[in-house]
Amino acid sequence: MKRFALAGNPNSGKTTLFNMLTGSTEYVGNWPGVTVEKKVGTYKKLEEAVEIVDLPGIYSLSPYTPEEVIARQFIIEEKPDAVINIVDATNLERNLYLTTQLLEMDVPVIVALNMYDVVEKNGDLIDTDELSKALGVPVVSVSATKGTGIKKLMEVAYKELKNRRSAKTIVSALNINKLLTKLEKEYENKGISNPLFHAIKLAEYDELEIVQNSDLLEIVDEFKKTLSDEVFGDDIEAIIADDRYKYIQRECSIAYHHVVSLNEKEGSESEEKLSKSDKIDKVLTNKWVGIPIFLVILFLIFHLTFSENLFWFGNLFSDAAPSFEGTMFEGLFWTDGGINSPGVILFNFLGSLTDALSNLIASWLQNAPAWISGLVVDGICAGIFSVLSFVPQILFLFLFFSILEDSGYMARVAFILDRIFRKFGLSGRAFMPMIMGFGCSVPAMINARTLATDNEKTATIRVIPFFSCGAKQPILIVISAGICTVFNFPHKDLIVYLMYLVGIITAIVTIILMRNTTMRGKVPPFIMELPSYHMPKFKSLLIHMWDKLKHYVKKAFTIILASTIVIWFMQSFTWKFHFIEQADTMEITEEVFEGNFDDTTHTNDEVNASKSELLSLYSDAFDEEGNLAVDFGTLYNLYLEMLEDEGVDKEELQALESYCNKILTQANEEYKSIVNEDEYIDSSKSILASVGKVLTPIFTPLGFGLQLNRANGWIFPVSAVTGLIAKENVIATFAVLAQCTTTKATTFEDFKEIYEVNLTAESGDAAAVQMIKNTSATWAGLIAFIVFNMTTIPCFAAIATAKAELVSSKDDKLGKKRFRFTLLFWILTSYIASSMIYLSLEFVWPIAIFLILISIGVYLIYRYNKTHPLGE
Amino acid sequence: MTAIEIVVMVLTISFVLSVFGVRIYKYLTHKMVDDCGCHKTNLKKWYYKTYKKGYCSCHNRNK
Repeated sequence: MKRFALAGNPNSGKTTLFNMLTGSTEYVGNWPGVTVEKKVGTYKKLEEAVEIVDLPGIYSLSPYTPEEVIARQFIIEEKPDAVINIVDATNLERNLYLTTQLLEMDVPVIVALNMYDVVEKNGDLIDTDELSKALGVPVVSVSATKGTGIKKLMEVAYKELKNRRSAKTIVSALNINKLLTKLEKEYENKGISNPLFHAIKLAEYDELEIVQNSDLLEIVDEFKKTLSDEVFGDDIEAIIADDRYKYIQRECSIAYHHVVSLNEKEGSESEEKLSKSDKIDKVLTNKWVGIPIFLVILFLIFHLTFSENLFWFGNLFSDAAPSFEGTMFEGLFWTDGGINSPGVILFNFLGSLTDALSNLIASWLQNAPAWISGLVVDGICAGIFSVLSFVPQILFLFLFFSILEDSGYMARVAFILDRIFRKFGLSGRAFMPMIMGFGCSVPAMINARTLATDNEKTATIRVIPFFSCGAKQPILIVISAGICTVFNFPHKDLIVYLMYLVGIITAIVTIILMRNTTMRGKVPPFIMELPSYHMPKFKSLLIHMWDKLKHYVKKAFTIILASTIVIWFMQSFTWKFHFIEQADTMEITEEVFEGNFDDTTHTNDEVNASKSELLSLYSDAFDEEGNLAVDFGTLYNLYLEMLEDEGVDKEELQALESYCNKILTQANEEYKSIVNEDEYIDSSKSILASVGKVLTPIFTPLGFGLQLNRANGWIFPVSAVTGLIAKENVIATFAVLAQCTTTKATTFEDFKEIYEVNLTAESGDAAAVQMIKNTSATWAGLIAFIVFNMTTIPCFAAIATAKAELVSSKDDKLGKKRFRFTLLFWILTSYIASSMIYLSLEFVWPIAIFLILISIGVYLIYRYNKTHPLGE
Repeated sequence: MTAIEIVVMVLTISFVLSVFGVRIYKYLTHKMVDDCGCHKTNLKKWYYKTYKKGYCSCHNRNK
């Protein structure tokens, strides 16, 4: 099969063109350096199928960056049949610099003038025929995003295969061409292919070339002695670069001939267009407001995705808005707290769908053996639905991130953050992999390959997991919702936002620590091209979102499903493989609440004695025949209200109290008889509980260890450990284990709690609320639990990627050491950070000790750095 | 045990085993660079490290 390579400058649209040609959905972004590996696809619309190879973006063929080495090695060693050079037509002069180098290889080159539609929109015109004449290769104008000119480009490229093109150089200054001819012959004698390219590289004192052909270096050294340029002296590389640009300027001016006249016609409009982008940049990249604007934008994103009180409208419309009570829309759009954000509306909607589905499945399996209905309903459905119910919010977050990325704003953020990053010992370039970390750590770690030094790369890979990926969002949402419900805190979005900030702060602190201790080194300069702002394309946004969704759903139905089955098995069986049936407290509580308990009639004397008081509180308490018309729950609430009323008849109150107590006692006796039956096995005897209890002490300093309720406290440590496989497992584990954490009901309040929580027990939120209540976890412990999950080993896939990225060469002992230390680093950081947060929030006074320890640490590092200054 | 129970059990166990099995298989057959510079699967690397210390199969000699 014939093979075409796509080569061009970063952010010139190679991957967009590649996706268009091959129908792939490779990741594209409006910032340079998205592609770091070559990608392969097939184009089938020619006479024969053609293989297309997408190379990383490069500015030259000199080995300054890893991408340049990858692209150069591919063209030289794997010899593609043709190279399609993608040129950003809006930045023609700079892009053609690479073209002049590609022409020096014995391979057919076709220049694709991409973004030609933007050039036309600006009122410009490039004469492709004249440019083609100047370069000596075909030039085709295309628009990769709109798909215009692509067919023609491929046809021209296919035709070019028949013409055997030989290398040509435009370098001619100061007799350098004589040197090149001499070197070219030497290379030919040695039987090396692409002799002209190698000759020029050797003349430029190219590092890789010198290593491979050091014997020919003498010829260059001798020639160098004869050189004396007015500006560049004897620097051959600079002279050649200057010559290339001079040639491009000369030839481009011919191709741009028509542009000038067109510009004159519409000059004023074009000028205004240019300045628009600059005007936006003046604000967004401003020294003072740039970062605050970025933080506000981030907060707005989280607010629109997670808030249950959109823009704090609160109760503004609560009177006017219909409550939809009793319908399927209840609580969907708004609650008492305020209007739901779009993310929450979709979340609620999907939640009600999955609830309905699991109820339906449960009713199908009513007559099935207990272990089958347990496996399907409590294991598979609970686990999968709890993970899938977060899809809308994850998609929403990625939609916003993709808009920021595609519009070109993310590249600006890298630029404004460079100033701060530099202080921490990283360049702004490290921001790219970090921001990708919000999506998924795996591609982010691969992208870290573009960082210039090993120390910077290692430090970045280590902190990437601290930028919460999509899989960690359910943990954040569920636990913060649990905190809000149990501890009456109204701002869920604020907790989520703060937790993201905690992740970022942990990253910053650990980077400073690493760059000042084990990973010391000078920060390389950061040069990045700022892409022009443009409206994000709907199709590319969809591709981005689909990319994330595909990954998430696939994981849900494979590793997460398998893990939930294993967890369900471990919590449903004892070591002797006895199946654990849960005490059906729900059935008892339902009986109590619906008033049909144990044949007790509501028209007995005790109730009737307090009839007048009840009627004064609640006029519908009795029906026309004088029978009690409310359920036990309502009746008990009326009794509680009567308790607070000072003018109430004491005798009547007593009568009602004894009635309520009688029902509660009967319910409790019934419950106890189930629990105390011989065959009843408590869930605390399960395999998982016994394993969990071993793990529990380890997490005590983190607030979710021994201080939790002894019967159910092991659930948090177990969830944290299952999360090491994949973070979605944490919430899936919660949902599965929620079934076995029923507390023993002794008071009415206990029954009420079980009743209310069980009504919505399938969704992740309710499971967490139940878990928090039944384990008596404190809010400080819960915050520490989030922080632990956010900063610890992200998942098995990330471990494998980190290993592949850190251990690169064959005898890379340093790499192996770094990988092992990275694992230790993640475990230690999460342990230390979350225990510090727990202790500080719970007891306050440890803050003083931490401050003293931190100050000593900072002083020691400062002293060490002063006595051991960094060498050049 | 009824037929349905047996079918559900077999399906569940085979699903769980296949998911973890594929991952373990991928790990064992994933090629890594050995000390001597050869590409070996993790399984082979472990085998030579444990039972044939110092022997390299691709060089066909002791290192």
